[in-house]
Amino acid sequence: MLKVKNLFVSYNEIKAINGVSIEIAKGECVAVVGANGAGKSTLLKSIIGIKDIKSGLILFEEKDIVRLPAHKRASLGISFVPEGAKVFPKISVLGNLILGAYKEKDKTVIKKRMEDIFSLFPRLKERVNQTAGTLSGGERQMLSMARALMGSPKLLMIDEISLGLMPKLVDTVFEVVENLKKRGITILLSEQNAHKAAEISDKIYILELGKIIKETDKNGILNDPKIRKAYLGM
Amino acid sequence: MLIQQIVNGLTIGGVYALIAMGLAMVYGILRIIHVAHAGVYVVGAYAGLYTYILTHSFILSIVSSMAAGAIIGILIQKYVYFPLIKHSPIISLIASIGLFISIEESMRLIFGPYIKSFPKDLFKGEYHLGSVVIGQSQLVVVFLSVAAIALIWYVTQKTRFGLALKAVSQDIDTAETLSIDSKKIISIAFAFGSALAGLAGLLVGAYFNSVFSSMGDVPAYKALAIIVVGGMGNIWGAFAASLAVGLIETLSIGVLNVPLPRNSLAFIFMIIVLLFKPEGIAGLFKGLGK
Repeated sequence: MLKVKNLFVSYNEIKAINGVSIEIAKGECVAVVGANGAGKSTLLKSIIGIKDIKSGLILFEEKDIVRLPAHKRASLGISFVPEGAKVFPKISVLGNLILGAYKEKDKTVIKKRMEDIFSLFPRLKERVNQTAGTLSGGERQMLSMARALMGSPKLLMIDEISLGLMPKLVDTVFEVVENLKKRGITILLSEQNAHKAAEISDKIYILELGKIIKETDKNGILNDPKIRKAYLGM
Repeated sequence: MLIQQIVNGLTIGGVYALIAMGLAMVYGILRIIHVAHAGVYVVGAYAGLYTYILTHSFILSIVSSMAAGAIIGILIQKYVYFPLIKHSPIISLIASIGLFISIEESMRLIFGPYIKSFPKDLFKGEYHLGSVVIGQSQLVVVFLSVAAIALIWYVTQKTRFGLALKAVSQDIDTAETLSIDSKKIISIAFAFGSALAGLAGLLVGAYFNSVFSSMGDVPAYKALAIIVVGGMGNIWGAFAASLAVGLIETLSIGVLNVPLPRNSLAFIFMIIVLLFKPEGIAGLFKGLGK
């Protein structure tokens, strides 16, 4: 579904992504794990197109999307849940959700998706007329995911979903992600919480200073003493 | 007398609103102080005037002033503001001031340094409602301002485009990730705001029966004072501030006999408001610092 080949991205002179190649098959859940500043967010932002790349190839369903602006990539079926939720604070929860389905013009389809979303996130239904700025951190994260899902994506990219959430909420959001995976949505996660990411992912890339240093799976990450020490702290 | 002045104040306030709301909309999206908006207003006035001279149809004048405004607006946004968007807003502000002067001087070169007036068959007669006298031109100005403001309300509050515009002005990148074509949305918003400025030019030109190349000078800085009072990017704040400024000007001069020049009153009002509610000016500096 998604292939990234030899990607280079830099902020001015500083190299953030230094020759990264990753691959995600349809229906897979793949996690990019790494410390703060490893380049996880930059990688996801370059795939959706809100960060310019220096060189490299990004293929989505065998089509090169490097030259497409972000909104065109999104309408091909890539949704993005940004770090820190980034809901529109002055727009209502309902408005945020409608914006998630912006490319869809059929109102009955939008309504159906929204009902589906409310069954996944019943909390949002209670707050539908509140502005998003009045929601709690966890609710914003839910809304950001719900908004991305309103686009009915083929590929869902989630940036640092657990960042800044209390442990109980972290469990909840990962349950949601697992649920989405069961529905057949292809997922690309970026996570600092390697343990949690390993539990639900088919494949894990370890990113360090803009380079993939290891490609592994759940067992690999739990059994490799070096990784256990560096990312799981045990 | 008082009611008459209130009616006159609201009339002029409604026209200020047409200019200031477009200015607030632009600031809301691009964080640019779009001084050249008043240049668009001048172009709209000339386009409307000459269309009327040629066709003697005020409807066509409205259409041509709005079309001329929209075209100039899109050109400014595409070829001046977008290329400068990555730089400090100060640079766009300077470009905007230069552009405003160029537009006014071009009008002076093309149409001459004279005050032009509309042919005599435009707007004759007046209506009496008790003690209040409303001229036909005033009635047209009020009617069109109200219609245009209702249109702004509808477009920004009730349409998919309005929702996307809000999203783009809050966070362009995130809006893009939701398949919103932010450049297209910004262009449409510019065209819309500029069409209204063009219409305002025609209305003022017809109301005072004079069109001249420097007619944008006073609206340029008055609209700025209005949007500062209204909270910079807030179009409904700009609407309220416009009516307030229109009323204050008319009542101070016509009823209270304040011995100050009319055009200084908007700024005195701005200073007084900022003394008690400084959010407006805070927003201004936040925008400039970005």
